[in-house]
Amino acid sequence: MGSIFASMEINATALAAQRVRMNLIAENLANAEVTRTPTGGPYRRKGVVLGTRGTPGFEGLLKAGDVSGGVEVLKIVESQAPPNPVYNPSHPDADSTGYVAMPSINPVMEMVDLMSASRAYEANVSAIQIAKSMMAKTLEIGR
Amino acid sequence: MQLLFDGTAQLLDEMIRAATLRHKVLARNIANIDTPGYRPMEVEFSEALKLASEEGELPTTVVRTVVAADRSADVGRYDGNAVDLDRQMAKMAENALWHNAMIQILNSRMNLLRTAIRGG
Repeated sequence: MGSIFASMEINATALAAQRVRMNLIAENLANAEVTRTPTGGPYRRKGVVLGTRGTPGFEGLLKAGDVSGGVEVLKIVESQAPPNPVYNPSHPDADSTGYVAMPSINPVMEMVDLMSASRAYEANVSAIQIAKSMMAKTLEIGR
Repeated sequence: MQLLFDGTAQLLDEMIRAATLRHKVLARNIANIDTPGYRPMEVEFSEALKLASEEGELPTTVVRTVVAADRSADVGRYDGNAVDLDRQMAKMAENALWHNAMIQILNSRMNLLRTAIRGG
């Protein structure tokens, strides 16, 4: 029984991680045209670095209620890609040559990433549903 | 009391536990679908049980499970992650059916016993 709960916990960590990833994609798309940020300069694309929780050994799996092996967001990194220069002399942030440093965000890339995150989220939801059906069946023992 | 203590109920119990463990392992693989460098794992059943079932005898030994790296997985992705989502989902569905079948068998055995207690 405890092991099934742990499986659901493991999938829940992945749901949380994928949710963070989707939030960052939304942030990237929303800020695709932002030239002024609190730190100065154009907005920089943000992404997640995912890692496996706990020590990546086999021991954690044998302990009931242990969620090591789940996924966690290790850090959120800003892209170091150079800004995208766009010629627009009337823009207040244009430099002396008339170019504005725009964030280097590719909406196509963001959308593909969003689909990938959303599919991973769905897969984890399915896994939780399977765990629930197994649990429901377990409750039928002796009935 | 052959029906209760012939070892099958214990074996079924062990099998259900094994299916639960396997679900946890597969859940772990699916959770780490986007973790760079993650290698999937799989539950392997020990040779002792395999031999017993190959000989056609009723296996009365305890089911021994070993969690090991999934040998069938191959790295096809640039980030070194070897999780194949389709395969993992198929395995998980199969494992859940297996788990439910074990419980079904356990239940029918119990019903048989209940019928015997009632006297028909």
